[in-house]
Amino acid sequence: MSGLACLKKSQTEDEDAQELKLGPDFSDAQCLSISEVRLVMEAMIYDYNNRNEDASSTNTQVFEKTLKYVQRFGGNVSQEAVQLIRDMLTKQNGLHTFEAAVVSNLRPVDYDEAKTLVPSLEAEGRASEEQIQRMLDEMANVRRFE
Amino acid sequence: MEGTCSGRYGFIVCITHIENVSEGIITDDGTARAKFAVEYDCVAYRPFKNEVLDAVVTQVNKFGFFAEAGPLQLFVSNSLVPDDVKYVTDENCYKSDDGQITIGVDCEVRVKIVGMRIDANDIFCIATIKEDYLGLIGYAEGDAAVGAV
Repeated sequence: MSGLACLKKSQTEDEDAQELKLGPDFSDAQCLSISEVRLVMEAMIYDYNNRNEDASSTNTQVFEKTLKYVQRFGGNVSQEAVQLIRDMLTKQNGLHTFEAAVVSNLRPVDYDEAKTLVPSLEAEGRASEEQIQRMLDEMANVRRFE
Repeated sequence: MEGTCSGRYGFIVCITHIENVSEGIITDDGTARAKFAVEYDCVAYRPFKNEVLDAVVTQVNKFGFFAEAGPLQLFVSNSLVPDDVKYVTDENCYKSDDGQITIGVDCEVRVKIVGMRIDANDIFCIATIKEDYLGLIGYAEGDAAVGAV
């Protein structure tokens, strides 16, 4: 038991969102933004309602609390806009999916705010200040014209 | 599986796709049940140290305040609240000296996770708002920054 506990401890000590260390289990997982999770969850509810199936899997406390949270913080963004923002952040600007999710959730307005909230953006060899500023402006624009 | 929480994977919010179900193995505990190994894709909600996220305040007291980000519970101790923001007993909230910031129940706050207590089936986080760009959301004009001054 103590061996297991040790393993667990060292695992979480290695984790640090600042340096994009998400641990072995999540190193190749896709990170979703709050808006994306909202789309997934609402699609699930829609499916269950349409098929009149037993909706036990959407009936848990975790599901309900998460749904409330993503509806409060996810904004009213269409699927197209969510897709556009995701492609822009990850494909055009080379952000890690974790960074893309955090940037899209927190919506920083300028470079200084972005690098404070997501310090890994500042690491060596990453996008320049101008590029990140342009990316943030573009993201705000997509949201504005929703 | 849905609705459970493990320290390793966090909260399993919903299963989106079932990849593979193995052949059943009948258990030998005399109950005639069978075990299946199931591979699936799911939406998992797992906090990480030093991650910044938004949360809703649920409870305030003189030691700090509790907040909730979906199923995740967070605690912000009063030592991790900026020095000019103090607890006001009469109103049961945290208020800045200049009166501009009031953090009470149901306020939205931006916090950074500084520590996690991971149990086998629960995750509890300690968070801070004592850094730039953290704190009450919607305070600064036009954006969500509080500590920007």
